[in-house]
Amino acid sequence: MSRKIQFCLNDRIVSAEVEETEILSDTLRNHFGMIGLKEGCKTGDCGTCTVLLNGNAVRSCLILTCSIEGKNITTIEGLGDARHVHPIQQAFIDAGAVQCGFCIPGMVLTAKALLDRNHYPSEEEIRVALSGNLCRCTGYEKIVKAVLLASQRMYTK
Amino acid sequence: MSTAFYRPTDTLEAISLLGRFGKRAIIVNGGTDIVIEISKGRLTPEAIISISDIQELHEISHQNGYIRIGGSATYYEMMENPLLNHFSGMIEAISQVGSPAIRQVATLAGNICTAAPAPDGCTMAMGLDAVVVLAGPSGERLLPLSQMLLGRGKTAREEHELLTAILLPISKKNCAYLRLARRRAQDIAKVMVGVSLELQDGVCKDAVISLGALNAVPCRAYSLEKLLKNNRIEEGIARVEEIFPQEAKPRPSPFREYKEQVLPTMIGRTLRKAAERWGTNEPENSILP
Repeated sequence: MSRKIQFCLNDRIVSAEVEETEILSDTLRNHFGMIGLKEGCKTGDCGTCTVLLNGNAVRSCLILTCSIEGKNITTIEGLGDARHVHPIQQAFIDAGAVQCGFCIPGMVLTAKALLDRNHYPSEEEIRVALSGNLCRCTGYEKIVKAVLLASQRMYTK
Repeated sequence: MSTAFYRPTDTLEAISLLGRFGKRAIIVNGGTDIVIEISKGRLTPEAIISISDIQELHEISHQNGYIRIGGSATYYEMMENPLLNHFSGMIEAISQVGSPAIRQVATLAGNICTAAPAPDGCTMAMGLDAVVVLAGPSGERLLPLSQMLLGRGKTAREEHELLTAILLPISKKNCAYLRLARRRAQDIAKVMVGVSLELQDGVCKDAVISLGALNAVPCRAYSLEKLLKNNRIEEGIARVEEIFPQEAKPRPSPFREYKEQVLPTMIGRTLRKAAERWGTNEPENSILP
């Protein structure tokens, strides 16, 4: 059996026929080509599948697609691209926070959810917010600096 | 076999679905544990009932001597709620569950029903003498949390019942929570201790001690509670630190010996932390009306 669902993906209303047991990360990648989100661990630990659900950072591998009917989903594709680079993405570039890049969509979206809620996070608050997003390259220092830089650029007048 | 998906928007609708499907249904309440089981095909229910959209179950309120935490309230909603700031131990416990993205959707009620061995919030809730509200087609019943957890993955919830709320008694106690883990985030702790203490002029009037990550499910350390009662708290804690509680029966694991060695110290530290909250001889939730 499958079920037709409708939701808002990156500011556009979309619909899809999905299995009742399908997880959101599969739907977003396979039905909608949102390959910026990665399927890392598929157990909610690594953070590479992070998306925004009504503005909050969540794990798309732990959410059944049928449960997001009528809700807003933002993926990294909805935040910015090469021609319209989002200030958080620019801060990651400028701080040299990206190495292999696998974790970065999740990092940027988690930072977006944090900065929307808290314009001026402390370094500790950034580290707590990013504590569920694993990076095996950078050692986190430059990622934390990138979020601080984004906060300064976006909210300091 | 095909699976039907339901997203009820009120409690009665959810209960009537449970009445219809019983054991053949799976309740998804946050889903951070159970969705993995479903997506990997280890659970193949006839119906999935997602209850996150039942708004009334997200409410956290103060009524009849209890803080009532709705069955679908997420850890994030609990952390943001001013009523729960009067239960420092509970905030200490739930702010260490998984990671922020997990706390955004995971629920205390869901973790209670999963009945895993090492749940932070559930261990602290037991240390607060929490009561769960189970609602079924024929009405509601209340059950102490300690009687709700029967074994790993096993609870006293009947197949047609929904855990609609967790009640934290507003008592004359101060609470505290400590966990011992290898990492600061995303680690299932090796030892969890939740306590609440009532003190009067340095004498322990009442104590509740709950231990997690040891047995199949969190358990109360009644023997230590008895030992503390009516004794000066510093003397009581010193004695507790010398004793391995008889209720703790750590499961076979590579960490068993380690857990056995650190447990008495961890219990002592948690008790001290709760005792320190008695600086003004007032329980922190006494300012609640």
